[in-house]
This record gives sequence, structure tokens and C-alpha cells, in this order.
Amino acid sequence: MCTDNPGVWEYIANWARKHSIWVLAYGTGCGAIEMPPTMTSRYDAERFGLRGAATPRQADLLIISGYLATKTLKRVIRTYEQMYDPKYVLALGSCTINGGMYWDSYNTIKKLDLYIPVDVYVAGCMPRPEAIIEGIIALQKRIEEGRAEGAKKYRENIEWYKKNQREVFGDEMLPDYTWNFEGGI
Amino acid sequence: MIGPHNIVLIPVVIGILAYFAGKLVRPVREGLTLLSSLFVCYVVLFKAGLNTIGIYTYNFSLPQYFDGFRFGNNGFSWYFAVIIAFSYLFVSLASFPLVKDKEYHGSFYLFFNIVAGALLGIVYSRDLVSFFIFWEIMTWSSYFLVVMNPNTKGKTGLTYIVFNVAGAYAMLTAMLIVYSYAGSFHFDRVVKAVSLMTNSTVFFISLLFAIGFLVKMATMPLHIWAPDAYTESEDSFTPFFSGTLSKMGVYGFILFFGMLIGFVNIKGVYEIKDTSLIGYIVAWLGVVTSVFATFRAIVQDEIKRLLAYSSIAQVGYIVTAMAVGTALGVAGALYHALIHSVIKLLLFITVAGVIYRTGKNKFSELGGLITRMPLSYLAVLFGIIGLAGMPPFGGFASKWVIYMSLIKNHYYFLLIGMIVSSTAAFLYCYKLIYGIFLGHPSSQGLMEVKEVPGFLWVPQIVLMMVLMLTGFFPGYIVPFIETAMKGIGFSVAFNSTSAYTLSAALGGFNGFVVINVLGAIFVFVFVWYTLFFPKSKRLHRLDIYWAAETPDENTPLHYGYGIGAELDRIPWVGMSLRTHITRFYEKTGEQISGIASVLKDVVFNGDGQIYMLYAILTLVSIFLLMGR
Amino acid sequence: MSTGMRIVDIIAYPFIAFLIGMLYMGIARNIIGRIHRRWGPPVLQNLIDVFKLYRKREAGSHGVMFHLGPIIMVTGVVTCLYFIPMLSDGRWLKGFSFDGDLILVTYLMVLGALGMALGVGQGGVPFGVMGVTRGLTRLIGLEIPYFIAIIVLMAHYNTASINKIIELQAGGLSNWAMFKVPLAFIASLFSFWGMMGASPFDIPGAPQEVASGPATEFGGKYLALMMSSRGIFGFLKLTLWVDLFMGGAANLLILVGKTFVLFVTVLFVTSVYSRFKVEQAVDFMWRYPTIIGLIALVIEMVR
Repeated sequence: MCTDNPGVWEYIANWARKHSIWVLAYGTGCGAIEMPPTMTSRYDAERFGLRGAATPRQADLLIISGYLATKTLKRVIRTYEQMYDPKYVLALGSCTINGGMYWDSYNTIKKLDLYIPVDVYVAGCMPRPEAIIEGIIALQKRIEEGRAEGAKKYRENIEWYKKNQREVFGDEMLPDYTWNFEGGI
Repeated sequence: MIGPHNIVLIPVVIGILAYFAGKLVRPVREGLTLLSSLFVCYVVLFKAGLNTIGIYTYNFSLPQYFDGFRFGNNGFSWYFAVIIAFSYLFVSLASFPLVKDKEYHGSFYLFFNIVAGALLGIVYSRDLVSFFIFWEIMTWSSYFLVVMNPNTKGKTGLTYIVFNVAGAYAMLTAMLIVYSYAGSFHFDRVVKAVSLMTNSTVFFISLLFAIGFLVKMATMPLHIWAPDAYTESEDSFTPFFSGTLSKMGVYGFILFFGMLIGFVNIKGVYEIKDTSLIGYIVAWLGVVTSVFATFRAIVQDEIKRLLAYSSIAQVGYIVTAMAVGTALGVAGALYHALIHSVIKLLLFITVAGVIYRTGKNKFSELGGLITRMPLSYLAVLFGIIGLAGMPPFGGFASKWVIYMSLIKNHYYFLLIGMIVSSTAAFLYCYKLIYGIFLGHPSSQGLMEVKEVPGFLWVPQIVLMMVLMLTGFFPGYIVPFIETAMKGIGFSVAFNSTSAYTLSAALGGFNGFVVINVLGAIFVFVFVWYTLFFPKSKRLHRLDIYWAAETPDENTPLHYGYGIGAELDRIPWVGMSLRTHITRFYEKTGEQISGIASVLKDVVFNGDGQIYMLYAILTLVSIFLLMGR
Repeated sequence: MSTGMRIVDIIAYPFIAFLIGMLYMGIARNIIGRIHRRWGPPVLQNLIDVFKLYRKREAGSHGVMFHLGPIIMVTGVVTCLYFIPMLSDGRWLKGFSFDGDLILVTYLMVLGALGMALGVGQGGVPFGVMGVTRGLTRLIGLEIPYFIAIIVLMAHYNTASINKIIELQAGGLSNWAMFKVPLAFIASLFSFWGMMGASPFDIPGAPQEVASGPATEFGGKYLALMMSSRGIFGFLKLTLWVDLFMGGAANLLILVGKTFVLFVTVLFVTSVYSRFKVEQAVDFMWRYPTIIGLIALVIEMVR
């Protein structure tokens, strides 16, 4: 039951992954307020199999809801590294795409894609719950087609990502142990 | 020939010999003690076996009114002698490395051997005088072992000796009353005399005896010596102290209430639901003890103090089971006495090793030792499984018998009290293993310590095996208990005949099936999990969910040592934790000293004439009484 | 029954419990969704979740005990399941229930959680330990009404064997223990409510307070195993209550029917409550259910 060769198991698994996405909603910016209506009675994201996860260990999807200060980015990266493969990132708002209204701010980053691989961007300032659901459906499509391989991308290009991160953090770089593993059980 | 009548002498003589010979060559003490304990084990198992019943009388041409010392053996004595002999062996092995460099090396081996001898004397004696003599030797030599440790506070030793001597003198009074009826100290004559006594006399002497033994078992409200004494005594003596010495109270209680006075005899006096009034009160004392001690154990920070309270709580179950006085109850008490001895030896020996290696005795200073001390971790794991009474190990079997005995005779409220304590026991069990071995190391240098010394591995492994085997074969021990019960005049209590099953009263279970089903499922899931899933990443100790923060080495992550803090907020439990019985004793002490000072002023005021008056009044009253 | 059939019977045992348990959990999520006035997830959602978790490509382990924790949990739960008879008639789906009794089952129910607690301990997350402590403290409260109820039951039927208790309830609705000893049943229902981890007793795994408690550090295959055992455990408890108080079940259909009624009843009550603090939970359990249970016990003793 090796996971590397895609086959019928992987096909079924992708179907299950698509219908069961556990969300870690990282409330970094103003988009955080869009998450509760998405999950509760008005828009009911649970009918797509979405469910809130309490910790990164259990989560599949990391939703970045808005602009990222360098301080927040550090936490986002640590959270992302603690999640288990397969893992997806959904970035909300213009701020995560090109900096948005913070484009000349001294302490926010402009392109989230430089630091962690993003699967789906939802543009807007802020995107409404309908747009978030639209983004999730887009993500589901990617998962079903087997194209949501952010974790693999991150693993293979780890030097590039770490270089970009180091440019932002300088001396206060994150410890190595969240991504550099030796041995196993 | 060596037998029950003189085996007592072996440890005592060896102890004295070791003390003096050790002054020349120090390791002789260890060697002699080990030899003596091996020899005692050999004699107890093969020379004074289960079915050897005999009476040996010493009649050193004594005055008419004293008919000599008597020793003897039966199944009941044998059962306890085995516990004593093997704990003697294990503790002498464990004390090799632990006492090696202590300055009280010599006196430790002297008194430790004497205590072991005195315990054997207690179980083999067949008359009240030798019973009492050995009881006193046990009390005094264990007192020296308690105060030997330089860290012991003065109050600890004082409390210990005051309570135990008071208990012993209550017993002595009862013995003298018995003698005045029987005209002899021999057990067989005592039995006859007791059956002729009036009800109130029986009630009175059983009360005095009960006090004597309840002190030894640290039952509330006579327990306040125990936590301090267990905690502060020498680390390598505590296993013996808590595991074996406290069982002498059990032995004495069952001996006197089962064999000499007879549960049947006191039953006639005042009766509640097929049990004597005293038995019923003592049973409730046992339950109350176990509930309160359990809650208090949970909030402790010192390892040994937690175990001390847990010991008090566990002996509380034994007290309840035997005090109700039914055959099944006494059987449960005997079963649990054995299991509790095994568990407490295992845990205290392991903890002594941990303290020896790390030099720390508090949960808040330990943690994360599982990778450094895997064997000790396993030992504590086995110990807490037994302590919590979880299947599949022996702890469940013994607790099951006690529960069944209470249900069978409709002591439902006692049982509910016991459930409260045994459910709360999970908390201190978890605290014990978490605080030492799991979580994060909370002081420097913990990640460099070594496994406990090799001499401790032998007792650890053997005791773990015993727990496991009693889990596999819960019924294996039943014939021995039945024989022991015959020795004190009980008939059959269990229904089971096979070693695999334990069945009595309302039901039964097959320990062999339970442990095999558990094992099979575990192996199946483990293999499936290991073979058919991708390997797990080995995570760093600090790579934990910490709300996306990055904890460092100085972040206080070893939280769990504070388990029990929230108990204070539960209404009833919080109240029980805030009140303490020592305050009652302190108040009583103040009152007594107040009364005494008044007495001193009024009665003993130093006036010669007043003293003369007392003398004359005494003489007059004597004449008046003699004249009648 | 031939040996082959016996083996099939034994192997099928946990899988039946797993499937029905997971299905019930899915139904519960759907019903709670409806109570919230939304569609809710599909009924099979929990099975999909578990399958996805089993197919996660990674998982992290903090050490041997961390690895063994979920395994011990599922071992304890499945072992406990084997000692509870699912069906009362015929020879099918009895497990090993003739080799154990009610007290053994009661203790085995805790075994898995305690094994898990050791794994949580090595995980080293403070939230996990908080969850375990909360769980064990809550247990002090839960066990008392439960034990009073089973003591009443054992006293009433004068046996500790579950099979015999089912046998003695045979012969119609009026013989069921829930009508014979109604107060004990009510007291035990409170414990049941708490043991199912439903509101307001969902203290150990509170996601908003202690980040899902014991499960905090477990992900991927570990979480999958934990969820599976939670599903089995849910069905185990339902089966136990049906066996003890509702006369057992003659075939699987009746078992599903009875457990479903019990499950939905408790679900409707719980889905509208918020969470207790742990000391409130213990206090509540020691107050009303215990008093009800003690009244039942006194009635039983007088009878």
C-alpha cells in the first residue's frame, strides 16, 4: 500500500480528500471575519465536507485571511510546516497576492507565494463568503485532478523558500527542526 | 534444625554480625544481608512450607503463671511469611547501590535486618507475649530507620513513635485483659477464654486491638504519622516500610478478629447487617481513609509523598474488605495485601532509583526521563496499572474480589465510597508516570542521566513478572488464599477451580482470555500499523503545537506536574483538601496542655501536706475496697 | 458453529461496530446541522474523514509511547467491545462475553483512554496534558452515577454477567430494566451522556479552550486510528446500555433500532447545551444523577 504510485487507491483517496477538507483558518487580517459566516448556517460550508481543525497537525487546508506582517508570517510558516502532507493553502484578498493596500508598508510581505506554496488565491478586498466557497470548489477540483501538490513543491524547493524567508527574517530565522527531519518510527 | 521457631534469629544475628564485621570490611554487610535474605526465602519456601503446621514451645523453667513462648506455622502465617521473605530479598538487593555511600551504612543494615527478623517473629509467634515483643522490636527498629536519614525532621520521628507506641500499649492493655480471663498467653487458650467473655468485654478488647492495628495500617484518624514517615525515611527502606511493614497491621487484624476473637463472637455483641458494630465502623473508616488519602495524593508534588498517600488509600481498601469479616472479604483483603506489597515494592524501589540517579524528588523538577530510563518507565507503568486496578494485571483481580465481597453482602454504600477513591486514583497514577517520565525535562542535566543501577533491575523485573502472571492466572493464587483462610477458620470463598478464572459470588472473569485478547489485538494493530503505513517523521521535542509560537529550552512546558490544582475547585473535594486532621490533634494537644497546667497548679502544687492527704486518702480507699 | 464461522464472527465484530459507529457519528453531524437550520454534511462524512486521514502521506511521532498511544487506545476499546455481547439470541456476535463480567467491562472501558494518555504525555503538548487531566477529573464525576446504576442492576438481578442480565430481561417490554429500575436508568443516562463526550460534558477535547485536548499533537494515521476507536467506542456504549437496560437485541436490525433510538434521544438533548467547566461537571454529576441513583439504590435495598 505504498503511497507513491498513483493508482486506484490514490484516485479514491483524492476523492476522499476533496470531500473532507479540515480547515485551519489563520485570522491574520480583516478576512478573519469572513470565516464564521462561511462555516455557520448562512453559507454552511460543512455540506462540502469542510470542518474546522483545532491544530495544524489535524488540518488539511490553511486559510490565510489577509495581509501578513513579517511577525505573522513567521507563525504562518511554522504552522504550515507543522501540517502534514497533503496540505493546501488558500489565500484570501489582494494583500496576499501583491500586497494590496499595504503595497508600500515597511513590515508586511507582498507575495505570499514566495514563502509558502499557495494553491488557490481568492481575490477581492475582502472576498465575501460566496467567493471563499468558490475558491474552495476550485481547490476541490485541483485536489481531484491531483494537482494540489503544494507540500511536494515546498519539499523540493525548500532551499529557495528558505532563502526568501531568510531575506525577510534575517537573524531571527525559524529553527530548523520543523522541516529538517532525521529518521522515523 | 531451622524452622518457624528460630528463623527469627537468623536476620537478627546477621544484622548484629554485619554491623561489627562491616567496621573491618564494609561490603561484608551487603553480602551477609543478601545471604541471610536468600536463606530466609529458602526456609520459608521449603522448610516451613504451606502445609507445615506445627507448634514449638519454649519453656525456660519460667514461673508458674507464665507458660512459655510459642511459635508455629500454618497457611496464614506462611502467606505473610512469603511476602516478608521476598520483600526482604528485593529490598536488600535494592539497597546495595542506594545505601553504599551513606554515612549510616552500618546502622541501616543493623536495623533493617532486625526489622525483617521481627516481622518473621510476628507472623510465626503463637502466643501474645512473643507477638507483642516482636511488635515492639519492629516499631523501635523501624523508628531508627525513619530518623536515620539526616533530612528527616524531628517531628516526623516523634509522631511516628508516639502513634505506634500508643497503638502498641492499647494492644498490651487488651492482651492483659485477655490474660486475666484465660490465664495463659497461648493462642489456643485465648480462643477458648474469649468465647466465655461477656459481650461488653469482647467489645472493649476488640476496640483496643483495632486501635493497635489501625495505627500500623495508617487508617484515619490515626494516619498522620504515615505520610511524613514514608516520605522521609531512607529511600531503600521505604519499599519495605510501605509494602510490607504496613501489612503487619493486616496480619494482626485478621489474626485477632478472625482467629482469636472470631468475627462470629464480636458479631453477637452489636450487629449491623451481619457485621459487628466495630467491624462496620472500621470498614467505614477504611473507605473514608481511602477517599481522603486519594484526593490528597493527587495534589502532592513530592514523589514519595504521593506514593505514601496512595499507600494509605490502598491499605484503606484492605481495611474495608477485612473489616466486614465475610469469607470473601477476608480473601479479597489477603489478595490485595499481596498485590499491594508487590506494587509498592516495585514503585518505591524504582522511585528510589530515580531519586538516586537524578537527585531530585519533585515532579516539578523531573520529566521526560522515558528515553533515559526505559526499564524504570516500564516498571512504573506496570505499577500504576496495578495501582489503578486496571485489567489485565493482578491489581484488577484483587480489586474485583473486594468489590464482589461488598456486593455479595449488600454493602453498597461502602462500595460507592470505594469507587470514588478508585476512580480518582487514575489521576495520581497518571501524575506519577507523567511527572517523572513523560512531558519535558524541567531541570538541567536530566537528559544525561543513566538508567537506575543494575541491582534494581532484578527486583523490578521479577515484580513486573509477578504482576503479569497474576494477570494471566488470577486464579492461581486462590488455593494459597484458601489454605491461609483455613488457618484462621474460614471455609471456601471462591467458586473457581482453574488457574485462569476467578469466580466468586455474582460473577467471574477469565484473566487468561482477557490478556490474550488484548495481546492479540495489540499485536494485530501494531503490525498492520507498522507495515502498511508510511513511516512517521521523528519530531523534535520542541516541535509541538504551541499556538504557532516557537517554544525554546526555557519555556516551561512540563505542565502536568500541577495535575490536581483544579480539584480544589470541586466543592466537596476542595473542602476536604483544605481541612486537615493534624489541626484537630494540635487543638487537642493545646487543650490537654491547658488542663495539665491547671492540674499542676491545683493538684501538684508542691505543698507537702496536700501530698500527705493524697497518700492517706489512697490508703483509706484501698482498705475500704479490700474490706468488701 | 464451525471453527471457520467462529473466526469470521470474531473478526467481523469490531468492523460492524466501526461501520455503525461511524455512520451514527455522521448522522449526528447531519442532525446537529439541521438543528442549526443548515443542510449539514452527508451521512457518510465521518467515514470519508477517516479514510482521508488513513491516506495522509505524513505523520509525525514524538517517540515510541506516542506511537503506541493510539494503538493502545484502539486495543482497549476493541477488547472491551469483545466482552459485550451484541446479540442475545443464537450464537452469533457474542464475542468473549462469557469470559467477563460487568465490572471487567467497566474497567476495560477506561483502559484505552489511559493508554492514550501515556501517548499524549510523551507528545509533550501542555494542551494535551490539560485535556487528559480534564478527562480524568470528569471521570470521577461520571463513574459515580454509572456505578450506582450498575450496582442497582447487579443487586436487582443478583448477577454480574451481562449475558444473564439480558436473559433475565426477556419476555416483553415490561421486563426491561429501564422499566424495572427506572431511576437507576435515568441516573445512568446522565453518565452515558457524559461518556459520549457530548455537550455540556465535552470538556477534555474542547477545541476552543485546549486545542482539542488529547488529540492536539496527533495527525494523519494517528488521528485516523483515534477517530476509528472513537466510533467503535460510541457504538460500544450504546450496545452496553441496550444490553443492560433495554433487553438486549435478538438480531442486528433490532440492535440498530434500539441503539439508534437511544442515540438520537441523547443527541437531541445535548445539541443545545454549551460547555461546563470541569468542576461544574463533577459537581453536577455528584449532585442530581447521584441523588437519583441513591434513591434507586435505597428502593432496591428495601425491596
